[in-house]
Amino acid sequence: MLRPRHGLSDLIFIVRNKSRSNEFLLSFDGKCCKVLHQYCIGWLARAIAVAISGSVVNSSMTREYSTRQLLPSLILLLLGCMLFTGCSKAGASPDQPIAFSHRIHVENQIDCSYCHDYYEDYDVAGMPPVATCVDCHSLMFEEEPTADLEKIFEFADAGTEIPWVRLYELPKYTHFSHKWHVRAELDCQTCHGDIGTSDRAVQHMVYNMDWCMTCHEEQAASVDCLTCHK
Amino acid sequence: MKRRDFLKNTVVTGTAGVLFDACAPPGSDQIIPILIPEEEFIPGVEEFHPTNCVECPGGCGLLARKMDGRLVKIEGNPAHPISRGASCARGQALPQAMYHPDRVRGPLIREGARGAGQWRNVSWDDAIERLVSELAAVQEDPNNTLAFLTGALRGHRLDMVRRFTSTLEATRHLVHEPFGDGAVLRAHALTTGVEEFFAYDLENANYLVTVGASVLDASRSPVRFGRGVGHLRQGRPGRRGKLVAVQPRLSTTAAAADEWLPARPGSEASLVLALAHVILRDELYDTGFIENRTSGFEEFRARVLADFDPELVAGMAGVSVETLERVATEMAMYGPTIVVAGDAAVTGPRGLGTAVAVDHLNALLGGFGKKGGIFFNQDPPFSEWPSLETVVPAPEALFANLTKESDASSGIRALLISDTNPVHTLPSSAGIDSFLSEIPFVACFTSFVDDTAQMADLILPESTPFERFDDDVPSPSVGIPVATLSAPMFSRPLYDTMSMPDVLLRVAAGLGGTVAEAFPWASYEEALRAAWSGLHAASRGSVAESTERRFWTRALAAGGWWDEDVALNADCLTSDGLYRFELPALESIGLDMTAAGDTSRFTLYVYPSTAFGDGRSAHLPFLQELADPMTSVRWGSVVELNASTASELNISDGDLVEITSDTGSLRVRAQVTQGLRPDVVALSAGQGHGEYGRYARGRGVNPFSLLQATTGSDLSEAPLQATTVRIIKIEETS
Amino acid sequence: MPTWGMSIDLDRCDGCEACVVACRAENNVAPAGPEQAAIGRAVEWMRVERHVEGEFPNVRTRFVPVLCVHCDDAPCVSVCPVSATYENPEGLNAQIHPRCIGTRACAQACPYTVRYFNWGTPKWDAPLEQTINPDVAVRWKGIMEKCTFCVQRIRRAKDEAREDDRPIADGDVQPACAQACPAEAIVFGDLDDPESAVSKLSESPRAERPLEELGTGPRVFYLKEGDWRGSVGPQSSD
Repeated sequence: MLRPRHGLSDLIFIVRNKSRSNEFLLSFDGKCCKVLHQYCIGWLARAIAVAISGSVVNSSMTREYSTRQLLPSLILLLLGCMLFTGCSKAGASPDQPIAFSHRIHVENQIDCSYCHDYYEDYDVAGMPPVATCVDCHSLMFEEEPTADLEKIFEFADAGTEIPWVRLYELPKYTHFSHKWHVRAELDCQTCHGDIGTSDRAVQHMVYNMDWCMTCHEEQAASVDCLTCHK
Repeated sequence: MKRRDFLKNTVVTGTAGVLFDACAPPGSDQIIPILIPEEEFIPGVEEFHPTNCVECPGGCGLLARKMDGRLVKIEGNPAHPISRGASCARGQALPQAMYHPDRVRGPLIREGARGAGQWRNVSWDDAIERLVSELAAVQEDPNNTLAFLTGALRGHRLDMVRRFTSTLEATRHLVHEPFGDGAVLRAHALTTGVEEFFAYDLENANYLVTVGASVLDASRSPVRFGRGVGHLRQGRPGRRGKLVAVQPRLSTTAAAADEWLPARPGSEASLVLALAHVILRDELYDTGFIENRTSGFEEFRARVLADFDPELVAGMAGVSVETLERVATEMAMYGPTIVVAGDAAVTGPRGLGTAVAVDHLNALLGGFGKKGGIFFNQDPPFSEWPSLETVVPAPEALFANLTKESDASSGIRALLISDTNPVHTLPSSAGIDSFLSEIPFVACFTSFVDDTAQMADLILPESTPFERFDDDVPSPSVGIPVATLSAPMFSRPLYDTMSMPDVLLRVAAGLGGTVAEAFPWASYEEALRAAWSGLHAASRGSVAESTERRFWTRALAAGGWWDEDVALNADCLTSDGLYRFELPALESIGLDMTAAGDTSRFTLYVYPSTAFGDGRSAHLPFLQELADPMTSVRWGSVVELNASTASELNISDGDLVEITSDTGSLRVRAQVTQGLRPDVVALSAGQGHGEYGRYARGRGVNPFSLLQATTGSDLSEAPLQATTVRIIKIEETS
Repeated sequence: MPTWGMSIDLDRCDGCEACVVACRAENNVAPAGPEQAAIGRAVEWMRVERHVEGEFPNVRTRFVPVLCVHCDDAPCVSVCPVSATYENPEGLNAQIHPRCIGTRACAQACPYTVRYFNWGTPKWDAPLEQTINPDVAVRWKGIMEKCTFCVQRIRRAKDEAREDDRPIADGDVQPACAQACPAEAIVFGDLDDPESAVSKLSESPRAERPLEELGTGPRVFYLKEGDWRGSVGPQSSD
């Protein structure tokens, strides 16, 4: 085992030795407070490092920086962190351009895959193009036509897709494949909740790494970082 | 808190703000980019579309990888006989050409003075109308000429230009290709009757000598040669071939070679004949080939034995007698051997002689038509377009025109320019500026405003190869008929652009009469398809289908058509079918050694750069950032000096120096190297654009500004190692 | 489970640098620009080094493509305080970007100097960002990055193999550098499969592991140049 080159790291070396295995990493992450997922640790550390170094630089340059003056920036940082940790909340439900109700469609025997037709064979689940909506709705006469139904045709006639507001987005540095999760016989509800019975699309979960890893551990799926990290 | 303290705090906390930018709460991201694709794509699914590379003469067939509706990567087309799945640095940077920030997005008409760079956007209808009216005016007056200036085009793009120039009255076709190796083509025509680059069976050869041509980095066909030499080296267990490079500078090719012969610029022809001398003297030549397949051998032998003894040539060339003797013997004993000529060695007054000498050396070694040797290209059996009664004007070299005639532009009323950048790659002393200024109307087909387009009156934005139909017949090829085909990989071009042949069709329609009748197609795609129907009719090769429609679909999907079952041949097309040991071209190839006195002057050696070629790829940031394989320079230029020369001149690595020729001067940082003759300084072509997008503009230096353009010459291109320069140090590096 | 490795034949390599640009294009490595490149901050996951010996005219040059060699016992893994880099079960030395806090200790530790720091936010002048490969994360300011053996291609090949219910065949995975190389100098594959091309090349007498004496256990090996001695005749390649 090579010893690291720089001086202050014997302590780090011992810690590293212990933490070389993925298991340790996972349990460390998993047992951490849920809101401080590992993504935040890194940012927090950097934020603190930057704040301290910034203030050190400042104080060395101006010689008039005191802890009192540093305090507002530290408070702002902490506030930012708190906001940050709370920023991806379960239960978020943004307004959509059309008040689409999953419940009505599911009650009409429409399967998830009719609209989201890629999840069995591709990484993405797929959002239906407006043509899919038009296919049915142009042949139907609702008992209670609403203004939202008209909007479908407005978009279709204008040649634009409906600008749905995205509910679930994983960080761009991750790779997720619907195909393999569906083939592992996970129900849509496992991750997306009972969206089929809702009148309004609500974010079921905070998809942080801890949440994903819990299931991967339990199901003996891959826990290798590279499986998901690009 | 005081304002100053607040700002200090903000700086500290502002950085904190940056840290959180990767967090995007739900609701902040619209899915539109995924839902409204340019065409319907499934995120994460890759598509590969065959395409054709036009960055260098190699003509590799490529595959363009499309993800999320956009072009993200280039690969070689594994089935294509030239690239065989590989690609080069320049090809890899091509997606940046498609999405370059400085692409011309629509037709432009000049406002203000020529060269001021002020343009007005116009519609295609207006642009075509302007073109038609200008060309109609040319047609009306018998004193007027239209000139069409292109690079060395191939395939049906060339045929379109030729057809266009033949149907319009009084039209000339001018050609400018700075590293075009025109002398090699002329040599081949003289010796074999075949005015095309030869195909080399590198994979079965054992010894390869390149005279001047940087075959592995930037000349002619680097991917094909890279593969061939790789195979020659380590592709056959138990056999390892040898590569010898004869160049004044240690190029990447010479560096990769087993032996570098740093011949004095201009001595290459004599050196080649000195090698021939040894082979003739020791009777190591292929007697069978000589006796049965050649003419003029006796006279050639007598001449070489008399005048090109290695003892006489060695001192002049700067290569020892021992080396010449040994290399010549190796070439004969350890064949099959192939000798290739190109780049600076085939320019200038001795260029043709050098190329002819190399052909003769190959003939002595009997390489023509043998495994591991030389073969001729074979054309794909295209259908001819409807024949015209008119005469196609023979292509004229622009450089020769400028340097021969006192008033090269006389009579030219309108000039169309496509696929060439003469303002950048002609010696400024050739007078391209005054040539252009004399011409009333200049229109340029281009995707970028480069140095030449900057001087135009009308810019017709060209679609990139990913957005247009096009074909190509690579040359040099591999001896079998190969035709590359590319189609648009997007449902519409990114910007309001049109391919040059399609513009010609619209112009022809606008001109009406016999001109319009000569172009009976609604689109270039239709014209191509008509020509390619001949390949369908041939019912052989890589795409053979029962119906023409199926053939066209399959050919588009495959990226072209080639026939690997065709027998290779090297049948000369001379009148008697024999290889001709042409002699007149070998007159006056000797160097005058008595004038070697002025040691304060050095020969300037100009070569195509690995990253930019002649400069046409300098606009791509990936290539600007690429460290040159031999100089490690990024984003700039250096002039290379030999280490002992540098110490004599008291120049250290990194010093700013001024290089002055009889026709120009420039300042550039020096780099000291062991890989260069002491009497030579080397400057790479490619940089020093006045205009060519933000990454290339004003960057580095352009060696063409120093080159001399000797008047009265009959050369197709500027001599690249015939200019002498002085060097002085301006400032030391800090 | 494969152990990925790579062979680079220095006798075939001619320094053309197709691999360098192919890697950039595949992995979204933004150009640093002239000012940053001038102070040594250009990021090049694959670079071609030029080693020159001798004096004119007896100059001997060697081109050596250098990339992360995915050590079996990597110094960078030892020094990272936050485990942003580790060795995965298939032998890949992985860099997990969101874990990295930019101490740059790994760059110090790496004896091959193949780790690169993002001194600034990678910049793509619009619309050049359209060339970004969606299979590869775009890095940000303050983190390290390096060659991944094109893990996205490994992932794709495994996905396809799993889809077809077959093992990954030799040659299914080609990193961008190997695919581009005209001279076919770069060969990639499973070192644990004795029939794979890369395993067979590892037995060549020309094979040499870079800085092996440091005990890093590199999984990239180089095949030394062959030799030609004209007076004796052509040498065999092996």
